[in-house]
Amino acid sequence: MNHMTDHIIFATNFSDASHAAIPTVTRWVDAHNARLTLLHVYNPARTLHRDAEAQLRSFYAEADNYPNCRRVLLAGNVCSTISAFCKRERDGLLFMPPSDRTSLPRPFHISTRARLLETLEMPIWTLGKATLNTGAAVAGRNIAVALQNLDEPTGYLAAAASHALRHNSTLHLLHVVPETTEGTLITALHSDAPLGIESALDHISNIASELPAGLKVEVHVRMGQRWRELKSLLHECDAELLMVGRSQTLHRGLFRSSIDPMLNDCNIPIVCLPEHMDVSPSRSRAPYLAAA
Amino acid sequence: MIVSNDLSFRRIWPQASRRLLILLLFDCAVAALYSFTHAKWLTLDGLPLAPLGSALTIFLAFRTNAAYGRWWEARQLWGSLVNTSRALARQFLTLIDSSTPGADTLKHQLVRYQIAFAHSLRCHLRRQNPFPEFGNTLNRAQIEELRGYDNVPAAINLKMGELLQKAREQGLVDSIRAVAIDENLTQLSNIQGACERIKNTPLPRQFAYLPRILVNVFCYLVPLGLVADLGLMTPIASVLISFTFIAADLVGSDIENPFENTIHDTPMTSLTRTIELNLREQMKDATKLRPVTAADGFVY
Repeated sequence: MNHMTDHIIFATNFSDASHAAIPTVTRWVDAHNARLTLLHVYNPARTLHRDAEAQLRSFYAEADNYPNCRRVLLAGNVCSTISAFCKRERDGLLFMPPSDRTSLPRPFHISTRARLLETLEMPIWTLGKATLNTGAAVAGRNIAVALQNLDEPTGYLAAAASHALRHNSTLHLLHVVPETTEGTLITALHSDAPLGIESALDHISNIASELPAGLKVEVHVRMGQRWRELKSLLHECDAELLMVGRSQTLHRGLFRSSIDPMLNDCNIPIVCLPEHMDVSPSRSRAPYLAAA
Repeated sequence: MIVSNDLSFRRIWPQASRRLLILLLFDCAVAALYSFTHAKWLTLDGLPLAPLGSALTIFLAFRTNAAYGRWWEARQLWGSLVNTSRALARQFLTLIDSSTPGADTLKHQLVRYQIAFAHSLRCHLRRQNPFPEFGNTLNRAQIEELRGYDNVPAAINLKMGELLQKAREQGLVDSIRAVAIDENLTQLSNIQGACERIKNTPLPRQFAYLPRILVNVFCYLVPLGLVADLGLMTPIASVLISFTFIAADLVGSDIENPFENTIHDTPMTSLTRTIELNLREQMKDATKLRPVTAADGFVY
C-alpha cells in the first residue's frame, strides 16, 4: 500500500474478536514482511501491571517466533494512549477489531474505534461484524474503494491503488449517486459533487485516469439508496477488501460519533484511510512502489 | 481452553445474555398479566413440563456427548503429537550415526523440521499463515520451498522422509532404524489426518439445530406452565430452569469445534510451544522462549 504496511500495530483487549483477527494479522505480516507491534492499554486503577503483562505475553504467543515482533504495554486511558502511541509510530497500519458482540443494546457505549477514527491520522483496519471470517484477505483479487463524497479530497485513492498494484488486484471504484429529491438538491447547493450518473462517471473516470497505468481499474456507479446499492456493488465486484476515506466511516450523532451503521453490516474487512494520506515509499519497498 | 472456575458469565457465554434477557422480559410479562389482569388463558396448567424437560435433556445429552467426544479426541491427538514429536527428535538425535561429517547438521535439520511441523499443523487447523513463524526454525530457501505447497504440514512430513532417505543412502542410518523412524513419521500423518477429519466434518447439523429450537420452545412454555402456581415469582423459577437448558445447549455448541482459536479450543499454541521448548532442549539449542501459560483463566 504505502509505507504504512511496513509496520502493523495490533491494538488488543484480548477479546474473542482480537483472537479471531490473528489469522488476518498474520497474513498481513507475511504479505508485507511487516514489523508487528502488539499493543495493550490497561487501566491501572482496575488491573495490576503484572496481570496485564501476563495477558499480553500469552496473547498471540506464536508471534514470539516472528522476526520483528514487540509487545508494548501502556497504562492510561485507552483511546488517548493508543492515539499518542500511534502518533509516534506514524508509518503504521492500526488493526482494531470490533468489540465482542453481546447482542444487548449499549445505549451509552462510546466506541473506541470511532474515537480513534475521528482523531487519528493513520490507516485503520477493522471489520463490520464481530464474527470474523478467518479467510479475510490482505487484498484478494478485487479491492473496492467507496468514493462517496466526491467533492472531498481523495488522496487516499493513491494508497489504495498502490496496494492493489502490489497485490495485482483489480481496483473497483464504487459510487452511489443519491436519488434526486428536494433534500438532495438542497444539499447539492453546498457541494460540488456530481448529481447524475453520467457526470459522476465522468468525474470518477477523471480520477481513475490519474492512477498508475498498469493498474486494472473498474468504475461502478449506481443511483439509489446508498447502503443497499453499495452492498450490491460489493457483491457484484466480488470485493475482498473495502477501502474508504475516513470521513465516510463515521456517523456523527448529537453527543457522540459512531461507526457508520452501513459499514457495521459489511462482511469484508475495511481499511479506513485518512483523506490526506502521505504515499511516500517505504524503506524496504521503495523499488516496488516506484512502479506505482 | 478454559482453565479457571472463576470467570464471568459474560466472558464465557456472551451470546446467552440476550436469550436470557428476552426470556426474563417474557416471563415478567406473563407473570404480570396473569397476576394483575387475571388472564387465565395464559396458563397451561396441564402442560407436562417434567416429561418434556426429560425428553429434551436426553436430546441435549446426546449432543453434548458427541461434542465432548470431538473435543476430547482433539486433545488426545495433540497429546499424542507431543509424545510423537519427542520420540522422533530422540530417534533423529540418537539413531542417526554421528561419526560422519555433516551428520549433526542433518540431525538438527530433521528436528527443526519436526518443530516446524507442529507449528504448521496448528496453523493449518486454524487457517493461519505459518510462514512468519518459521524464521527461527528453517532457513529462507526451505521456507520458500514450502510456500509452493497447499498442505504445509504434509509437505514438511515429506521433507523429513526425504532427508531420512538421504541419511539412509549415506549410510548414516541402517534399514531397521530407518523403519522405526518412519513409523513415527507415519504416526504424524495419522495425527494430522485425524485432526483434519474433526476440522472438516461438522457435527451432524440436526444435532445442532433441533436442540436449539426445542430449548427455545421449552423455555417459552415454562412460564406458562408455572404461572398459575407461582404467580409473580414465575420469572425467578423460569429463568433458572431456562438457564440450565440454555447452558447445556451452549456447552455443546462451544466445544464441538476444537480448532477455531476460541476460548473453548484445544490449547494448540501452548502445546506447540511445549514441543518447541522440549525439542530445542534435546538439541541443546540456546534459543530462549517462554512457555505459554494461562492468563486470565484461558490458555490458547
